[in-house]
Amino acid sequence: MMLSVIATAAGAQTIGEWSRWFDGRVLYTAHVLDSGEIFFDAPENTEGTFCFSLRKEGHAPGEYTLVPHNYTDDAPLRAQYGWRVQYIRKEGMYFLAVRDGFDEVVWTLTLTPDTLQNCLGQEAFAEEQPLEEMIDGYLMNTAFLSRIPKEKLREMVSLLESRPSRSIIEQTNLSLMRSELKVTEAERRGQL
Amino acid sequence: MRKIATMILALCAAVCLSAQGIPEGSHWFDGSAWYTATEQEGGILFSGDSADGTYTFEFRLERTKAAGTYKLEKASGESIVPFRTEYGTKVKALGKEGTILAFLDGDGLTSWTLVRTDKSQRDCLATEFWAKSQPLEKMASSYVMNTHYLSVLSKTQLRYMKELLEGRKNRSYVEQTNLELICSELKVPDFHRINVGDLQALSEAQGPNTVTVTDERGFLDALKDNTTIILPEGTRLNLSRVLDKASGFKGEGRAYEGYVEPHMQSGEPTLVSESVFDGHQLTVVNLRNVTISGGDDCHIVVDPAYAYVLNFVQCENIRIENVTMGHTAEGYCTGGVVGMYRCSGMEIDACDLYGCGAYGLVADTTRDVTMTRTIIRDCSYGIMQLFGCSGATFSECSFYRNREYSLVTVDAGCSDVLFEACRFFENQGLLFDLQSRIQLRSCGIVHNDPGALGDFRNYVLQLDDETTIRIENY
Repeated sequence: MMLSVIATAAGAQTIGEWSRWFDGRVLYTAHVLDSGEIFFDAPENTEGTFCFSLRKEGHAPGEYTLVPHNYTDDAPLRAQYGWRVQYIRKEGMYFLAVRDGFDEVVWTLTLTPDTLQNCLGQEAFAEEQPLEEMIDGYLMNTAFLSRIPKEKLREMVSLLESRPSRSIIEQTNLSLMRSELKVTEAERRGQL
Repeated sequence: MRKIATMILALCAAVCLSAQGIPEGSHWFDGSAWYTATEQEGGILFSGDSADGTYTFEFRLERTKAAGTYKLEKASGESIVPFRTEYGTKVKALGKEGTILAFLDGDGLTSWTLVRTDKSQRDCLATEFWAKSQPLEKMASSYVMNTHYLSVLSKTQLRYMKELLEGRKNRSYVEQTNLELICSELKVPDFHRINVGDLQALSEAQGPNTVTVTDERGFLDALKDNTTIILPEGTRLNLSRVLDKASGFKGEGRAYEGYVEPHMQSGEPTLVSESVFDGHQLTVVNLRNVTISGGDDCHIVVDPAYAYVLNFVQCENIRIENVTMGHTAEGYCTGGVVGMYRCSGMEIDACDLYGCGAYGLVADTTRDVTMTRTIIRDCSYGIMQLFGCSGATFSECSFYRNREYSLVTVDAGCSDVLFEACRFFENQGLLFDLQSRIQLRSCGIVHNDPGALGDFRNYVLQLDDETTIRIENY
């Protein structure tokens, strides 16, 4: 099953002004600042919203670094400032992958033309599907994974690790699940 | 027999002391800087260089009566110590041979570590690089972590390791040290964490500077991170004397007119003479850890009716104490007295904020506002406006003779707003215009219009039994 959202700007090499990105809970809008940094924001009344900025790194396509937007705020997206953010455009998928120091993906944001309501609707539909069917056709996110028990996540990790070759969705889901396993239950439940 | 036992004990203590000592010429590594310890009168001098060779650090450890414990002291007047701690803090030698030095924070937790090493700085850095590639679970037990190692981990990862270590029974001293280090690290804002060891962190580690100012130009010059600004008794600063002159806002960290947003993005502390309808206001951007402390009868004023007296944007840990602030203009103003936007840790203590000044305080998207023993009076629009603020506490404050619209406005984005032992009297207008819940504890309200108190039946206004309300014509 392919629930992946069709990108609005197929072939785009950079993050566009007013492009929208969904992380499973919040729909962010990108703004390109004069400094060249990309600032992401979302309606303030959305639960779990962050503001954050990405700085383009060198000339490598799709390579960004998470930088502070509001210096008093802790780093968003379960990340630390300075971490690598990759804009992945592969196999019809367009998404941002936030990577930790071990290069594991800790957060994903998918480029979408949809409204928040539609995004959440797709998310709700995805949650109703058998997990085994989702791991290779649906790019997961932390909101989706936080509802799956760690025991089940370990099963899925083993399943994906046993596959000799993996698509970009499988690779990202595997990495995302590995990092999800290293998040405390309290944080997964949003109880910090 | 007892004598022999005493001698044996004394011998053991001596051996222990020696084992836990800091050998002359020994080398110590903190994850970046590499130090050499040399004996100095009454203590041990540590001197070393940062990993990139840019900075030289020095500090002293004074021995204390207890074996294996020291007190951190300054080596010289100009020495820089890259620790998130203050001079005078306790330092403990850990391990059988005292090969780890743990610097404790105010809560008694290890906040910095130095590990004795026989390796060169280059080899130490290589080991550090290797450690960063190893699984967290392995490192948590086998590697004495340091702040540089932890700075590249997210708080999510730190919490994971904390939980992991807390779940281990009979923790080794390495695990215990790492656990304390992680707990301490969790209290540090991420931005400070990534700047560990650089110049910014160093300037913070040096502790606050204290500057006494008596004129406007000196006041602007003193507005720097980590500074306590003293206004001597009777000081009167009219900031408009300097705000209207472009020449005073040239150069680094200053801006004359233009937009504030680019300075917010830069993250650099910047003083902006911001244009308002009838003049300029001082907008302070990205300033951190500053106290403005007045002696008796100290005033800060501005001329333009449309200007804030002090406007803080994206500032952190600012404290204003014992200062009277307002506008020189009489009648109606549309500028407030103190403005805050995207700030945190803002304290106003024992101040007098007077109108005109449309509002005494306008705080927007700001966390942890504390106002104590302060007066807001004679403001022409209202007492305060809070938009999207979390954690605003007003204690022992008096709000009087303010008029005439919504006096206390709290929008739907606010949370944890508390008034404690505050007095509201002789005000005119709707007293509480609330879209989110506030609490009043032990407050006294005297108002002239029972219909203009705000909706007391609404759950958004919570009063305790100690709060009194009286309707009185005035």
